[in-house]
Amino acid sequence: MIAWFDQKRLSLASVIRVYLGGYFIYTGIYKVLGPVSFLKAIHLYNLLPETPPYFLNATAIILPWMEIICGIALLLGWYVRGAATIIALMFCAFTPAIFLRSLGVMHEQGISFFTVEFDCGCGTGAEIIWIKLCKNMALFSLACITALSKSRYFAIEGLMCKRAGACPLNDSTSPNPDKDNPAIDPTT
Amino acid sequence: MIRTIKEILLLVIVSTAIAVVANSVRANPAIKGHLSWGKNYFKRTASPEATPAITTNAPPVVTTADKPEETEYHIEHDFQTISHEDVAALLDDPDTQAYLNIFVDARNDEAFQKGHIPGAIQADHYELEYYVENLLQYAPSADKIVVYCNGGSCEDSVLMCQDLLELGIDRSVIFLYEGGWKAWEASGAPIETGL
Repeated sequence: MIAWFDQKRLSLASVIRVYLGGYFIYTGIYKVLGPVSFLKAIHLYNLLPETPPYFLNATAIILPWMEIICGIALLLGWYVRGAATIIALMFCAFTPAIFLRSLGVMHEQGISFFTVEFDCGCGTGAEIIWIKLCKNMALFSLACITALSKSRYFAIEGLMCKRAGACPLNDSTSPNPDKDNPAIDPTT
Repeated sequence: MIRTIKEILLLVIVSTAIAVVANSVRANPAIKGHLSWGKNYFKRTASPEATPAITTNAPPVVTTADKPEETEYHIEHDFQTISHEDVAALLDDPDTQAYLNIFVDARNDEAFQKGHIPGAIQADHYELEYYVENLLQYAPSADKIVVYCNGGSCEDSVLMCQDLLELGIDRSVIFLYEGGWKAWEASGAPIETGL
């Protein structure tokens, strides 16, 4: 029963990983296709100095590709922990920035926080910001779960460690995954 | 922990390398989307002697009065402005047909293709290298250059006016249409679509 539960938990973690990967590939491609829109969006946060312009421009050029590469890594299950950590760090940087900007917009326009709407440059167009913040918190949680999870179902890392015969993690490639991991093997 | 740091570093290096190559490839005019690493796209320079705004006795445009926040211009600048009525009047001016009055649309490709002032030349500040040749074909000989973008909080037209100054165009012929596309479209004035 415990093994069944653990297997479901590990499968769910893999589903989360694949979902995060797909999401970041999508938003990354959106930003790569419109680099100027993304540059304008990050400029509005006033997080980075205008002069010298290298920081702002480099962020607009590199960040979308980082999202795509991390998305691909998550989707394939390759360097999962590193990719999920990068994504979690991005949320740590941008979610407070979105919140602060929404307060600024609220103050400027004299409107309620719950009606503030703008394009945060997140790759999803103009959105009601409190909803966007909730989504970001949820995605941040998913990124943390992925970074901490040992699940390597349908993952290159799972295949590679199985081939090397040194799987520290429970993975789907094993005929009986729970036997490989004493921590969740109900017979131990 | 060390393994995670190694993974992060590798992913950052791979992403940066791909981004650098992709950005270089996009410098090709046929592809677009290139960003210059060292260009300050948001540089705003104040002129030593700001010219007064053109005033007209014509009544203000009222067609968008129910949405004042959309037509009110929020960007500070020191360029002379032109009213909606004067822009509309320029459209029928014979000088406009002779390219002595030109309209410069400072919005991006997508917005320009959806609709623009008839006869307008597109010149996106952020990708000026693609438009500068066409712009310099008409701008130096123009008597009036009307620059616009979306209006509201869109600063692209102000940045475009600065670009024109940097290209050697005299400040006295540059006019900023603050209402921009939102005011133009809302007034029911004629529009042109496509490139």
